[in-house]
Amino acid sequence: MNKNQKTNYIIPACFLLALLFGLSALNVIMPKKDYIDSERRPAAEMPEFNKETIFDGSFTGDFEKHTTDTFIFRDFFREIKARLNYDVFLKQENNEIYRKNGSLMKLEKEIDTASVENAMKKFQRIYDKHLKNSNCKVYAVTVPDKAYFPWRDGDSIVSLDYNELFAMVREGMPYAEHIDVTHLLSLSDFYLTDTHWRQERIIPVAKHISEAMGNEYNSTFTEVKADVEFRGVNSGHSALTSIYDDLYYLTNETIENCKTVNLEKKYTDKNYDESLETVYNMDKLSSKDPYEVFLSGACAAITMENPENKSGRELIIFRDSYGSSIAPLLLDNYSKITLLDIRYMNPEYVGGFAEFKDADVLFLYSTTLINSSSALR
Amino acid sequence: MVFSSIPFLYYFLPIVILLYYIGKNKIGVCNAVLLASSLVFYAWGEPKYVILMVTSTLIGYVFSLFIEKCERKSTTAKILLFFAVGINLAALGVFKYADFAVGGVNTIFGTALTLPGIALPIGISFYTFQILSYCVDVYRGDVPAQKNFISFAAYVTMFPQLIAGPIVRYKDVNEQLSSRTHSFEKVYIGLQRFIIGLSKKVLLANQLGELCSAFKESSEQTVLFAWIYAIAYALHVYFDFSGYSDMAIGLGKVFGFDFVENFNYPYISKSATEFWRRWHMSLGTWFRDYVYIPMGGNRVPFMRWIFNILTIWALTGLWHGASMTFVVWGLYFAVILVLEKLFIMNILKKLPAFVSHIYTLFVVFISFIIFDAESFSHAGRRIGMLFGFGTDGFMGVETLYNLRSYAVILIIGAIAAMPVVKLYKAKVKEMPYLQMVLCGLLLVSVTAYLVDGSFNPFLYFRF
Repeated sequence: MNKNQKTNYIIPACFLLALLFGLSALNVIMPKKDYIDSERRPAAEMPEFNKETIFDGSFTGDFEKHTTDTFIFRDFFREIKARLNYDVFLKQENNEIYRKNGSLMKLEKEIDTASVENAMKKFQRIYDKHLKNSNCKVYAVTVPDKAYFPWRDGDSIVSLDYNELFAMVREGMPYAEHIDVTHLLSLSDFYLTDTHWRQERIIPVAKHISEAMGNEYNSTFTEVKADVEFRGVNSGHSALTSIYDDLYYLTNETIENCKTVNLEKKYTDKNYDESLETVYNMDKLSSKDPYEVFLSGACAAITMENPENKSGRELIIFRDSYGSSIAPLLLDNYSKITLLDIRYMNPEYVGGFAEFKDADVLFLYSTTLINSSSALR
Repeated sequence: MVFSSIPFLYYFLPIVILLYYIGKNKIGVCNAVLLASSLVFYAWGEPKYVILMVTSTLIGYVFSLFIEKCERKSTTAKILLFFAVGINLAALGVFKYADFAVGGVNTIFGTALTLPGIALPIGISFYTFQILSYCVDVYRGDVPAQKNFISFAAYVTMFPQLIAGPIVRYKDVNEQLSSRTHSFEKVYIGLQRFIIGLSKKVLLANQLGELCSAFKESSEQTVLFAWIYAIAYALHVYFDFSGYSDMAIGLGKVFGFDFVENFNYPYISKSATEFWRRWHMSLGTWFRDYVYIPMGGNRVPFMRWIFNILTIWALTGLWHGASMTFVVWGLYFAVILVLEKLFIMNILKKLPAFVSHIYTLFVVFISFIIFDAESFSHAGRRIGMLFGFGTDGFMGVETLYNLRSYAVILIIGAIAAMPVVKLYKAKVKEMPYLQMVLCGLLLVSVTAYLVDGSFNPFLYFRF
């Protein structure tokens, strides 16, 4: 064997075989994860190997899913694909996630009229049953999703017509005073990797809403950086898992002294100790979704009582997850804020969690939820 | 099992290479490993159809042994050949064309016969054609019948080329089945070719396929989008199929075989005639040698020649799929090829080369729109859109969005379909380590797409 042959064929052949066999061996040897953190879902399990699964074809399909889900260095490989798509092939989307100025978002490509109508019908039912004959003042805020901003900037993207969507909401909720917050927001007010807005950037929005509801807004806050690398839901979808956000929360004396009660737990969990409940649940910083630090995340009904405010004024917020981070910023002006999420409770029962009498009632929903409202009960 | 999948790449292939090279000094063991692994490979997706494939193989094997024993081209040999070919074609007919035939009867006679709804066994067109050519070659005395069933079955079922070609003829691998060399050179060249084919499929064809799907699903009907689709689909088919052929040839090399080439930069052709000399060459030569020439080829009266051409191209179309759109696709080429032979070639010769290229690309784009169409109305509408018929204008937001999203892939695809890659490969060949690193990077990139992938159909599986 001459040196030339060795250089030209043996070493390169061994290199490629080592790559192939090395990855193969690692996949066999290394322990398999049963949960994919970045995608917030369980990995496909190893299918059963028997006559039925072989002949109905389910074994082969499920085995492929299992080997793909549990592939060694899965996040690393997924990120390579994302980088190739975004930075080499200059594709607009990877896994249907669009990227603008480093911010990751799913484009809402068309209005789902049935979904918008469904949301409006659900809200109307609440209004008819609880608000129509009360002395409550009803307000509505529609929070634009992140894809609104490239649309507003005139980027050439496939997008729904947000003006039309906002108009549909206004027409669908004639009983509410609509508070426009779009002019106070920009893409940088949202997390790069998540769908939500950043609490530390929405004080002007809170002020605007509060003033529109007839309050004088003088709240001030201290910004605290949480000890967490926040990888939002779009991080996993886009596969750009090396990118993360810093997560800040705002606090002041009112927030620290307020009494928070998770009504859902109070009525269903005998061991629930409401004295341990706080506005910001620090345990959630190490959970799958650190955004749940705000009012502990998904919850049917939760109240915040402000002992400093003796006015007796109450705010009831029908909300999705955007409400969790803005509600604490409205606390100074109210004695009590109740947050109700009709994704997790039947709207028929909301009367059991809040008294609709002389209260301010705010419907605060994102365009994402309105355009995909099947989760509303 | 598909090549572009994690189970194949990181489970099946390493195990087969390992087992194969453990027994590499005994050709019988090597062939047995290839046969066993090919059956597993096939059974992975279609366990019940393994029986069909093995039966077809057995029929080809037994009949050919008897044919060889008969006096050359005797009546007995003819009868045996008739049955060998007939049984295999009948199987192909039942499993591939039953629905098409019943549907045709219903259309013509206004009947309402229930369609049999038989699922198409993958690769049936490829392995049936290989068995047919083997039987005919034995009958003609071009090759001796293979006495060893394992060797013959290994040839028919060989997983590198089993489900999407190229159509490897027995006479091309006859000697290799009993004696072939293995070397690091072959392994390296084979792996390199395999990785290049895999990259064509995963990095280019799949993404171009996404663009084609975006066009079909879009409500925006613009002239520009129709042209983008026409170009993208032509590149998609090319990279999908030639990528598979590269993988097959590469894997063949790893196991010591030299398979025939199937593509030779078809998009540089200056006529449709030349295009078909460069596209799916193994199918073209198969039809030429086993159908066209036995029918008399072009050494027949003019009208008979026209009939021969129409027959060959209708069959070529039908081979690609049991649908009238495929038949029309084949006949479309028959008409173009006849016109080229009679008139167009003379005109093209007098024109600058770029005009011939544009003409050929246009002919090919139209053909692939027909090829991809679910029905004639789809084909007609999409072809009409190229010229502004039934469109919403020249371009729109969605068109531009998709163009921006896929512009780089389209450009890379266009360059990669040209021989400029060949020149580059010649340069890189002088730098083996660079070549090695590039291949490694491609394998890592492909793996990344497979780990995170969802869009991964193989076009030629249905044939």
